[in-house]
Amino acid sequence: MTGLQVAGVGAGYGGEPVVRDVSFGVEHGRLLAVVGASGSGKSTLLRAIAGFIPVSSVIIRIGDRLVTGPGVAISPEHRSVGIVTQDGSLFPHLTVARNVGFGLPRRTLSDGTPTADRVRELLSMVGLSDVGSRFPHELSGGQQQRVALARALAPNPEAVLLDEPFSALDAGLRSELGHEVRQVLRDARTTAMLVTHDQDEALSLADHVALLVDGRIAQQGSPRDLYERPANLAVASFLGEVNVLPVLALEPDGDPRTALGVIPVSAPVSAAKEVVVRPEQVVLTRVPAAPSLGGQPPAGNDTRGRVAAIVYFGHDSIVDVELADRVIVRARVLGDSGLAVGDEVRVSVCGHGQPL
Amino acid sequence: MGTSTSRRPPLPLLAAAVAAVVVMALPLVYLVIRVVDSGESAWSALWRPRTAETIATSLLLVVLVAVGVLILAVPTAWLLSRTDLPFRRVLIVLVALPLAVPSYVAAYAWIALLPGMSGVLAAALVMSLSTFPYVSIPLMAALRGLDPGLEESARSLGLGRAAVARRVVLPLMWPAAGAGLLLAALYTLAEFGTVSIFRVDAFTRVIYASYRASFDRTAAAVLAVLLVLLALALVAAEARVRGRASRWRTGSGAPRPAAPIHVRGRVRAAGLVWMSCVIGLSLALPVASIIGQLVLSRRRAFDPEAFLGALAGSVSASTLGAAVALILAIPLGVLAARYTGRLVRSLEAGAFAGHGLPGVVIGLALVFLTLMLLPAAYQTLATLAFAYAVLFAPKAVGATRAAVGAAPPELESVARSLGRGPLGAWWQTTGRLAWPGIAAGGLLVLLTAMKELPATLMLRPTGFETLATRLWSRTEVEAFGAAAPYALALIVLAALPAWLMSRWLGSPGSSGRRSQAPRTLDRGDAAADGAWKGAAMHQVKAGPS
Repeated sequence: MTGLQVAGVGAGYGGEPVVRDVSFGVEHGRLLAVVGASGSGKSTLLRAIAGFIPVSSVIIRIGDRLVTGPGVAISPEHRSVGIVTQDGSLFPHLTVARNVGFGLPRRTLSDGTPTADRVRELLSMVGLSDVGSRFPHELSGGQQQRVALARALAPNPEAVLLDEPFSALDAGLRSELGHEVRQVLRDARTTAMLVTHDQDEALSLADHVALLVDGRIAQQGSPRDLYERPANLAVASFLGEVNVLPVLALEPDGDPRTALGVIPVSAPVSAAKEVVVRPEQVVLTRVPAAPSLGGQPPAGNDTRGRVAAIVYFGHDSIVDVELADRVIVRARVLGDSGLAVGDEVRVSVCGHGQPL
Repeated sequence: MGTSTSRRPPLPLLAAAVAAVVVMALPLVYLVIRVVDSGESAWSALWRPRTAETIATSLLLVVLVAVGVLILAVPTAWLLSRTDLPFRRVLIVLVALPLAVPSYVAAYAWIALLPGMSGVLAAALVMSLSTFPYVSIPLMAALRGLDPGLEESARSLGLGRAAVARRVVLPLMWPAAGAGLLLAALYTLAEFGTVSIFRVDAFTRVIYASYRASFDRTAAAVLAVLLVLLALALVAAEARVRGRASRWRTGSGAPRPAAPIHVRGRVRAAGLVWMSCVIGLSLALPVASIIGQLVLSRRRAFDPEAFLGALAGSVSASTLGAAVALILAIPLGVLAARYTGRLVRSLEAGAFAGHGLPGVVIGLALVFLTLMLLPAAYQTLATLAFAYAVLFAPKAVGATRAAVGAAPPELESVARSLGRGPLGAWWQTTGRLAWPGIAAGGLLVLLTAMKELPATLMLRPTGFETLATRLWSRTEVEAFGAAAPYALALIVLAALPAWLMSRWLGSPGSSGRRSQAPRTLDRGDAAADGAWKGAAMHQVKAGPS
């Protein structure tokens, strides 16, 4: 069943369209992340779906209902979408409970349940059972966002649109709240679209990721698809650090040969100029004779280099290795690398590379 | 940029601030003593039917003005802040300008045009037209600063446009509008000239009449105390409403601006007609009437010598008053900007409570005070200047506070660490940065004092004339042509701060939010800017006159 479907948006404020041509769909109950740099048009896209900006030649379906299309433009209040904005946009003059119940009938719901019961249920769902009588300004930023989510979910919308909902929060709180929100949305079986510029957030929370560049979708698919099989260098480098290795020659079985030796690729290629390898795929072994770091290197490769720089982050370290022909390869090593600048290391690659 | 240092304020500064508040409170305290002392006669004056009639008349006037202000301000603010009505930038400046026409000058202009005008409805009309910017300006700022995310969230939760207006926009606009409405009420209560011209027996006119009939000064004192209590209640209510508005602010405070509503066709035409009516009645009509009087009188009634004498009187008394006001205000402003604590807050609140005190009350109190304690000072320039200082020092306190607050206190620490003593460090950093703002506060006091009417009438030396007293005496004898030059001069003087204020309010992106950082790069300018912001809301209007 379709949760949300968009085809061909030309949305913008007045002049040039900010979102040009975008098509995607997400199944009911799933979370779609639209990720892109600031100015890529992702917030405009969200506001077009919510019905706040007019769009041209587009079809938008929410649930099984056409809300925007030729001759159809349902107003925002009849779309059955909840929105959660960057800073929550809680109504400052209402208590938390009144905020959550804002989209509900005053006293009783259509099924006869008292509104107050539903509000209590929603507040406990987001883990804020005891703040109902407070005012928004008395809550922390993270609590405000949870209330905003509860408020958006209250009328049981077909879909919830989240516009950078965690970007105003501290880094630690951000990922914790992200997973809580994910769980709440899953429990509520609500289709959701999360707009974010944070690739970690998109990869870790979403079922389906669409990367937006200049108002166009550069690639969409599962987080794994995008990270491991990026369509181009822009996608690859937006989602994480990359080593781009020129292809020197092709082996008979189709695997390319690079400065790091032969790198297996998932599908044989006939012509590729470059191979992309993530730093965590690069395995370093000290020479001579030291236990390898991060797994056994495949036999047969004997590329060597010298450690040029090390940046220590605690949970991992970034090690830059200079190969014989001045090529620099970056490796990510768990914890402390045990290496020092100037050490000679054997460099190999674990897993598949992505040819471009 | 309120700086909270945990340090205790230096004793000399604290002592100066306490002394300033005591001096400012002295006339009122004496007035109360005088009433309590009169005992039985004050008691019987309180229960006279005249007292109840006066209260009823004043309250009726206040209610009528409040209704008029809302009718004028709400559509105006909405049109100018949320729609794409043409000529918006010009219109925004024009609707702030009625603040530049002192109410009694507007009243003179109306009665010169329609000599039969009188009564509470006439007074309410003129007061509404000259005080509606107190509501429309903050309302415009609030509407512009309203996070569109709130309205969008409400729409997404299933509310139509009308329901969003009723359940989200109106409740959020109420504090801004309510605070402005209370200010308009305060000035209406304190206004002397307008109610006298239209012969409305409100507090100020009755107090002045009782004082002139010198056998009944106890009754005047009783009414004055009642008036002060009402005014203080309004000031307290205004501070409460304003405080609630600032508490409601959540989020990062930098919402994107709302997209303006496109008005076309008949709605646009209606909007432009409405704006023309508002500006026509509040601004064009008074100015045209005065110019008409000037043209009609053809210099017959114009006496240049008297005019220059009145101008000199205004300038000398007001300059002296501004100087005294600054002496009182600077310690208070510096204290409020740099230190916290209960004593500091209550001193500041005490000084602020004096804003909007009716001139007729301070005039009466100083008449009593000088006659009892220092008869030699009765009706002297010094007493008049002191009255101006007491009436308008709160404006200078606000300006000083804003100017000093805008200068980063870290600079003082840096200067100290580079070898300056405490006073030298203050003078070379904070003092250097804040003085334009403080001076602007002084100028504001000067310009406001030039428009003051009732205290001037009561305290001026015999034969001493100001622009305001000349306008008053010419209007009293219905010599409208002779009054016109004074009216014009008063408008020009009053237009100066209003012009500066509208420049601030009309600047793009400035929505009047306090959190907004000054856009200027130079810190000295920023301090001056801060002073005008602090000054802008309460302080530009002619004080009670």
